[in-house]
Amino acid sequence: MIIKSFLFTGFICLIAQIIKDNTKLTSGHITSLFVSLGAFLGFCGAYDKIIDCVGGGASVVIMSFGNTLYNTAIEKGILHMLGGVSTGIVATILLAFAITLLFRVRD
Amino acid sequence: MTYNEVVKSITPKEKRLENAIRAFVSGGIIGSISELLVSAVSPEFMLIVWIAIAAFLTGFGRFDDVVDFLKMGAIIPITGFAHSVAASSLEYKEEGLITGIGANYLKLAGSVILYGVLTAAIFAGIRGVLWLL
Repeated sequence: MIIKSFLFTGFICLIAQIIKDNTKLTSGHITSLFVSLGAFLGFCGAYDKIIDCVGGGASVVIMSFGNTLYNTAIEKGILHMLGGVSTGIVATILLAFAITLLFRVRD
Repeated sequence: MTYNEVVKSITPKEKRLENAIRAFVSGGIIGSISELLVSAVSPEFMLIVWIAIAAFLTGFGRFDDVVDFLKMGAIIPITGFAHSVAASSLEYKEEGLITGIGANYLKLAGSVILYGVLTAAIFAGIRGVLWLL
């Protein structure tokens, strides 16, 4: 599983880097693209299988967000889809706020 | 020489191969550590560890150096998302709690959330229609 995680996450980042170096897209564009791709792979039923096969390496990439959103939309209804991504989003919101209180912006 | 050719000839050549290798290796290492954390504790713990690391690196002003070194390997995992929130929040700290931090909090992360929700809604809708047929 660790080797599969290495190969999977590495491969995804490699594709992202190739897109970044060969197009004018910014990191923001590419991240958004990968979230949508994750939702599409969820729709195809592929992403859950990838997570079963690869493990943590598939959960850490941003595509996992799109997949979780899609799965929760199917399970609980489109309007309740944010219930499922709460770990990542809530933790990010809370920690980023804590950081804002602790630090000042640096160059 | 046309203008475009001149621009091309004086722009330093990006080290595409080196960047690709860096992204692959760093992404791979982050993926393997994630798998270790998931199997040792839980997926939630794994996410929080990365988010905390990215948030603190942003706070110390070091995240950009990390991206220079790791390339997209640091952006595509959850660390990139966490950095975008912490960075825009810090950036607007001086402008106050509401019009500064609050109004700009999800400035960069907004596109990830918007397009994630949008595509998930579209595909869930498509699946609903397919299921009815």
